[in-house]
Amino acid sequence: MPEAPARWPAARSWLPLAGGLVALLALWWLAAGLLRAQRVVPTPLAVLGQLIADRASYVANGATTLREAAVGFLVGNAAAVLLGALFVQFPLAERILLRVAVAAYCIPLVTLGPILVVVLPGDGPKVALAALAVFFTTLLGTLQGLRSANPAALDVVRALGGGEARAFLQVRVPSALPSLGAALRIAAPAALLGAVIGEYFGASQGLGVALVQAQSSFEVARTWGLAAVLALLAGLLYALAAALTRVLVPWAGRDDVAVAWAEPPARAASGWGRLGRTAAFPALSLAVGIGGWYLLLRAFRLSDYFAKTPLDVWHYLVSDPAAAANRAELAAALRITCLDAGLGYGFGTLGAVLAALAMAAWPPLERAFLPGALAVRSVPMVALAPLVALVFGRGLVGVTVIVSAVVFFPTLVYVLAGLRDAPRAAGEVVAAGGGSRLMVIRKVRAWYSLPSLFTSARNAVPAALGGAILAEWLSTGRGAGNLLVVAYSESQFDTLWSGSVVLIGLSLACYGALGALERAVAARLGTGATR
Amino acid sequence: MAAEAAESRPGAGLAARGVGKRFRLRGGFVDALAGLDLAAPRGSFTALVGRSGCGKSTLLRLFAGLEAPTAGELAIHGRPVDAVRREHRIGVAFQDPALLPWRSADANVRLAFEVAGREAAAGAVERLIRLVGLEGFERAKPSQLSGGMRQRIALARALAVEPEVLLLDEPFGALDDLTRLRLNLELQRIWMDRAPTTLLVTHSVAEAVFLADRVVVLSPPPLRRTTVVEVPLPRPRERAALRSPDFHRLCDHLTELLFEDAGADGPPPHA
Repeated sequence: MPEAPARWPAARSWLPLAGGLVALLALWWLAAGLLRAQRVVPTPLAVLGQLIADRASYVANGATTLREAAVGFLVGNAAAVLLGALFVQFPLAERILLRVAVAAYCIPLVTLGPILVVVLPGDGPKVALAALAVFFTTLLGTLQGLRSANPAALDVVRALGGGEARAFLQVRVPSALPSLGAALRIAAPAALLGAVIGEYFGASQGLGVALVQAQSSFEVARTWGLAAVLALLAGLLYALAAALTRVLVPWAGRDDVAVAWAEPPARAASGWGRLGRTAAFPALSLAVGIGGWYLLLRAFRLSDYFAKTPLDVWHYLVSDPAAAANRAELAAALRITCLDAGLGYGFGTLGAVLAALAMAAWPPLERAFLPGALAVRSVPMVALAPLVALVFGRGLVGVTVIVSAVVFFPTLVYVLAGLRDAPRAAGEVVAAGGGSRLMVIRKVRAWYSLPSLFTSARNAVPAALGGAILAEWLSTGRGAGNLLVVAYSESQFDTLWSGSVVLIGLSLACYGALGALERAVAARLGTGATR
Repeated sequence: MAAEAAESRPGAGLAARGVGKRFRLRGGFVDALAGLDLAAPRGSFTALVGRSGCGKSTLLRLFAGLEAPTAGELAIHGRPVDAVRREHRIGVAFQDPALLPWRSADANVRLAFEVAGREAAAGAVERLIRLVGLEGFERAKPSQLSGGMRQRIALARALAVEPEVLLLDEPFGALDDLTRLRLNLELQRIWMDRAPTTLLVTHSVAEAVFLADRVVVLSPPPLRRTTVVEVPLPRPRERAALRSPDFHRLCDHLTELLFEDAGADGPPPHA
């Protein structure tokens, strides 16, 4: 069972972290030596020297980026928590609107970025991207958390004559805090990354701006210095979120917590046929999505030169004489993207699960290497991509590495939280029977962490697709990512929007399939009948 | 005594007429209850026993207003269940003590007052905790208490706002015999003092006979028979009552009913 950090003497808790950092530095130095000819990996010393020389600009740029990230963090999380609360109290709203939220999360950056720049003034695009980066994961965390409330406690409040509001505020909300904490731990560095990517689309100040400039001028040491600072900042933000969670939620993982699934329990068919119900809600979601699309186009008065309507997309894909050729082109590109995303998702998840199991079995591992995983996640891919391309090539392996890196960290955090939240009693039964720590994990905690795995999958699958797109854009030059970027640069906006729509549809299909799989597994395992 | 002062009209306390509860499943549906009738006078103590799957917990939940019947109707003290619930006149304790892990023991008891929108009288919470024998543990968190101790806090919470009706679903299941007997005695004392109409679901025949005025035996489908066995043992029932031949005869009779071997062996033995 995991020992609470507070019980470790201070030195022992710092040792693993120091060990991890030393290992990381050693690896870095080795890489710098091995790849000296290519001049893409500077030595840590060179980077440090550049950092010290540039320190004034770091403060100004850092402040800007942090401010944008902070505002985006607040806005995105507030929206996610409110929407999550709404969905739990009104499952009907969830069945219609969750898909729309997923679709919004899956809009490719290539399409979204330029629109945001046109539509929002000043810092708007960066804040919006930071908010979008945190919105979805916090929404899922909120849903899982609110639904993890002990049904018996809810019954007691209700039987005592308490209303819905009281049951929600006094039982559901405190029960949701552990899960929300896990989501916020992921959100903190994600907001930073979102802000940095937002700066890529046009800004005057900020770490992202500095990164773009340094990269285009081939100032390698400075690029790495910026990446290191970003990683450090992300780590600090994560530590802050983690400390906050520990303070607010000291009771996590010790009591009998009912395991819950992020989806509401499937209602058995009644009244009109199951098919009718299954088709009705996606149709409603589609209607809301299309309606919202038209509304946004109208509200922001976007020119129809570069902002296409659903009808335009329909023409491109279906009614136009060239539609068949268009579809074939998209399909070919998507096949490649699916492969890239799928492989990356598989490896990333596998790696995350193994790492989580290892860290759960031996807590010092977590303290040593979690910051490293966080660092990899928080450096924008634009900075990482050249390095990855150099080491792993511009082919399938390179893309897989990038996508795995995108998927790895959030999945790791979620699965770790899931493992930690298994009821202590269940594990103690095995431990008392002479089971090793690993056996406890294998036989008990791993199963209790399954809901967390599914929650992270819902987050990771769209992320994997997005990561694949980005990697294809930056590195391999094939697949849908390349298609979209070329379309944008050649002002072929029909292709851009149609391709984005199909991508979103693909993400939604995966998300729906995950939901069905989760329901099947939940029914099989019978862990947690939620109300 | 409270028992004598209670309204003796059957059904004035707890009343169920033709109650059915159907649950929908993936493949179809299951009827946890069908055509069930129950009548208990006001201020009486009724125990509900039966094999697993007979619907006793479902019936309790219906009386607590946590579910609505799919057929028939229920009433508490002549009024619809939901009205009684919303007026905070129901006290419940389930098998799962369901304490809020972020609240201390006394704060958990205080929850009942908060839900009812009432101020706890000075020392009321402490008195309740002393009542269930957990003096000194007021500030303890549930994770620091044993299962039995949590169950006692849950009982204190159920009694906090002096409910008119007390619904208990195997609240003593996790306790050792000694504590169980002690709490049975306490429950009897409280019940004789305040006379809430009480419904107790229990697996223990001895507990049912010791505490109740009548024991209702439910049999699961397809039989769905409701058998009422009166327990005319005099009150207050001390520990000595557990040794009396009448007590044993009642227990044996109920045990036989539960096993459904003998079926009708004639009328139950009288005191």
